[in-house]
Amino acid sequence: MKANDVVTEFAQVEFTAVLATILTKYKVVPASQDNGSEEAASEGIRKLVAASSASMTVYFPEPEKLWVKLVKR
Amino acid sequence: MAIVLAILLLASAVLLSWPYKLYRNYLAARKTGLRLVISPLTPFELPWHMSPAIFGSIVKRQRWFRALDQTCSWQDKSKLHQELGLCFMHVSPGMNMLCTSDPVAIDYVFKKMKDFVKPEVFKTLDFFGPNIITVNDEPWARHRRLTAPCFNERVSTFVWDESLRQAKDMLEDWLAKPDAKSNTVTQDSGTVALHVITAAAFGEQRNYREGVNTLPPNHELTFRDSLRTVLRNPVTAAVIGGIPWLNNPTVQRILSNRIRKVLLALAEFKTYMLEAIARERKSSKSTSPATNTNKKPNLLNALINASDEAQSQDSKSPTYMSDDELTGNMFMFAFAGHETTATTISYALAQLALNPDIQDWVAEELAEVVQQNTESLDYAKTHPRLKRTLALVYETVRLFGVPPPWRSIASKEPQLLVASATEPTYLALPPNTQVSLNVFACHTSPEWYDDGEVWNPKRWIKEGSGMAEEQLSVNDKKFFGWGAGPRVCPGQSE
Repeated sequence: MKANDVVTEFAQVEFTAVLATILTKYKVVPASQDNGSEEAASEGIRKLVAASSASMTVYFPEPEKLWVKLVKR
Repeated sequence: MAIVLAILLLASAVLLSWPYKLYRNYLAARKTGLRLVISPLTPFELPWHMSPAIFGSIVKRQRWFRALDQTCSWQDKSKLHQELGLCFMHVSPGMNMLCTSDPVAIDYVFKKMKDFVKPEVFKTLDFFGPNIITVNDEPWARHRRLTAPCFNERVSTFVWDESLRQAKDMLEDWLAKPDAKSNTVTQDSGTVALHVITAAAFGEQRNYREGVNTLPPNHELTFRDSLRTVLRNPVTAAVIGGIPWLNNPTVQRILSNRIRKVLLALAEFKTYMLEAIARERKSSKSTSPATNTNKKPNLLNALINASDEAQSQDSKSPTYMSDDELTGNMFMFAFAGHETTATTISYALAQLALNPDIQDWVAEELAEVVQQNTESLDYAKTHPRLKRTLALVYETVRLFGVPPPWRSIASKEPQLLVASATEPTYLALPPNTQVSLNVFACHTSPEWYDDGEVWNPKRWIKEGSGMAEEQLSVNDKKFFGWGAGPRVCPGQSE
């Protein structure tokens, strides 16, 4: 096992647990602050992702602009 | 008058040496036969960092800047390398930089730790003491021996259980919001990630809803604030961390607020770590081995035990870790566990929202493996079967999770680097060359990934006769996620 595998294994386990918790019973749907159409919300998310910055990690400069909605599966 | 003259002389010497140095590097770079990008500024020196603020978007349109700026090179994906080749030379007055997105070259550099040592810039992660990311050569091997056994099945199980516990509360909170609509995805996954890392790394378990803002006595900053302040200002932290007299109260009064905050954050993080180390040392001494097995496993405890044990057998044991080294390694875990996981989770949710078909595909697997029961999921029985869910992880890390260009100094004499167009060949590097590994470009190159810029987790799954027979197939030769070289995870690779 390599040194960075410690971090890798840790991240994979955590990430899988969090996503499994959400996605088992719910769908994640694009949303927006002003309750606009889903297409507009999707476009907003696409733009937000494309406008990402990178410094140490890739990140959203304005993370509070990412709106999502949960819908029961 | 003499001073003015001296300054003028110095300035003209600098100005005159600039074209000479650039020309000298140009001549050396030309010998490689690679395409060249000429840069008026030396990468990552002060003028380089200041140039976008002074010249604005003009700088950001220049190829010499885009090639090595972290944000620009992430946005450009493999564009520049499509144009200039898998390898090209970035020539500046201060150095030559070999920019590569060639997976063979990246793999080679990662494997040749001794020939391609980490540059001084990685000292920025060193302010709490050396750790497995910042140290080179011999100490690196020693740290690796100590940290690797710590992450065992018991810790994985604990991380799994703790993540489920945190995520369940996060999910409930989101559902309780009007319309189940939320814009706190990044912040909340940061809370989950921080709680998981503090539990698994330092043995401090917290509830999701406690939030991250509870301030313990004797502290001026929360643990999260001190960690984040340091992470957001790595260069400042590295510079001021090495100047002890800045902590003098008189000196502090003339410092800017930002610098004062970074100083405070450095001191606070260190105090949190020393407190945790003292607590773990005490608890491992006070409990008998019998009760110790019931204790929740954590990395710090495992590191301390491994290190103390090594020292008791041989007081000069090379595997002993000082408190500084413990703190350094804990900082690395906190950094990797907090920032990277939090951002990866928010990018995954953003992409999932845009791709309902992928959500259905993952839900199919979850329906079979999890069976609507997230309360008591056993790690060993569940985690290995969540292949599609893990494919989400790989795909998100491929596009959003790898570190931006990673610079390594080719040590001593001109280095040989394996490069490949069709077959591996050796490339002689001129002296004074550094290497920038553009993992993002590699991960998005059409040569290695079909529709490389498209987020599609299905690319990681090799189909079987049924869902249970599907396999996660990670090609180590072209995937460099999580910032390090290729890895082999048991049962996951080809």
